[in-house]
Amino acid sequence: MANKMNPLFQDSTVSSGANIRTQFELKKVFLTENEKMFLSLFDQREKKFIELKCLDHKTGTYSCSVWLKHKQEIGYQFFVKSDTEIKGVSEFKKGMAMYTILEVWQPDINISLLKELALEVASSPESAFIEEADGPNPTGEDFIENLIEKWGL
Amino acid sequence: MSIISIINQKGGVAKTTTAVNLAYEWSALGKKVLLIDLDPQASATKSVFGDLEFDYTSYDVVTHNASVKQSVQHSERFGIDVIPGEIMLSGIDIKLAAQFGREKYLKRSLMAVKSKYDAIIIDCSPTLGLLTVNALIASDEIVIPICPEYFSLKGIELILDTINNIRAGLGHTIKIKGIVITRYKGRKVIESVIDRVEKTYGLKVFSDYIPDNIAVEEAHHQHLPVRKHCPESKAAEAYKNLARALWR
Repeated sequence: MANKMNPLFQDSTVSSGANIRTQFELKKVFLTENEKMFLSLFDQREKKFIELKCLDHKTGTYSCSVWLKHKQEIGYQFFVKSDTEIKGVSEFKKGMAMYTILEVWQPDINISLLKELALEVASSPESAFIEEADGPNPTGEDFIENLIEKWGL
Repeated sequence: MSIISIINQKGGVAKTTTAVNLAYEWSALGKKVLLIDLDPQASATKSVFGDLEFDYTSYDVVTHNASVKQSVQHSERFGIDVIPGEIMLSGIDIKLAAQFGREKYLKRSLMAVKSKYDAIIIDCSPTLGLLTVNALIASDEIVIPICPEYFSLKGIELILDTINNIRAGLGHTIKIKGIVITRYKGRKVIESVIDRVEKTYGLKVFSDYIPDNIAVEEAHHQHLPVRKHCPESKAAEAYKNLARALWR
C-alpha cells in the first residue's frame, strides 16, 4: 500500500523537516525478566537502536521517544534481546515521522533472520545505541508553536 | 474542567439529544456548563432556543471573527451557556484550509474561557473535516453515542482510527470516556456486541441505556430538557443517571 498521509491530520504549524519528538508505542509485549525490547530505526542517514520502556504492564505497552524530522521517511522494526541472543523481530516497516507511531508486537522467529540481525547489532558502533529523547527540542524549532500555545497568537 | 466532544461519524444516533440533556443534567448538579453547537444543522441550538437567530455563532468563534464572550447565549430553561451553531459552519473547511494552525482555532478561542466553566460540551458534526478535527483538538475526552440500529464494530473502528490519526499526525491524545447506548428498544442482540466492544477495544459502555422514548422528541419541540418536559419518563431517568456516571 502507498505511504499516504491524510492532509486533515497533518500539523499545519510544523513545517516539513522541523524537529518533532516521535513516540513509538508497541502493544502486546510480554517479556521475561532478562529480556529487553528495542527499536531499530533507520532515518536515511544512519541506523539507531533505542530501548523501549514499559508504559503499562497490563496491556503490555512499551514505548520510546526519538527526535526526528517531520514527515521524513523512516524505516523501523522492533526486536527482543536477551543477554545472549535476539529472540524475535518484527517486520521491517516504512513510514513517515509523525508524533506517534502505534504498532502491535508480532514477532518473527526465523533463525536466519535473527542471526542476521544479531550480527548487525553486534557490529554496530556504540554510538548507534542512543537514549530516548527527553526534554525540550534541542534546536528550539518548536518556538512558534510554543508561542501559539502560550499566547494564542 | 474538562472539554468533552459528543461524537459519532454516523448521523441519527442522538448526539444532540445526548449533548443538550447532559449539559442540563450537569447544570442541575450545580455545574457551570457551556454547550458548543458545532454542527451546521444547528440541531442543539434549535433544541434549546427554537428558531431564534444570533449575531455571532460558533462559526465566528472558530474563525476568530468573534470572541467566545461575544458569542455566548444563556438559556434559563437549561441553566447553561450556549454558543449557537449555524449553516455557515459547513464552509469552515474552505475558510480555514490555508490557515496556519487551522486545526487549533477552536482550542485557542476556548483558552480564554476554560477556567470559567466546570465542563464544556461540544456537539460535533457527523462529517469528518476540519470542524471535527478542531473539536477533537480542543477536547480532553469524547463520548460516543450509538443506537442499536447502527451498532457495528466498524463504526467504532472509524472513530478509533480518527482518534489515532489525531494522536499520530497532530500530537494530541484524547481519552475515550465511553459509549452511550441511545434509542434502546430492549433488543437482546446488542448485549453480545457490547461484550465484544468492551473486550476487543477495552472501551467502557455505560449501563444507563437511553430508551427510545417519545418524551425525547417532545422535549426537543418544547425546547426543554427531557427531565423538565417529562420528569417521570424513562429517558429522563436514564439521562440523569448517565450524567452522574459520566461526571465521576
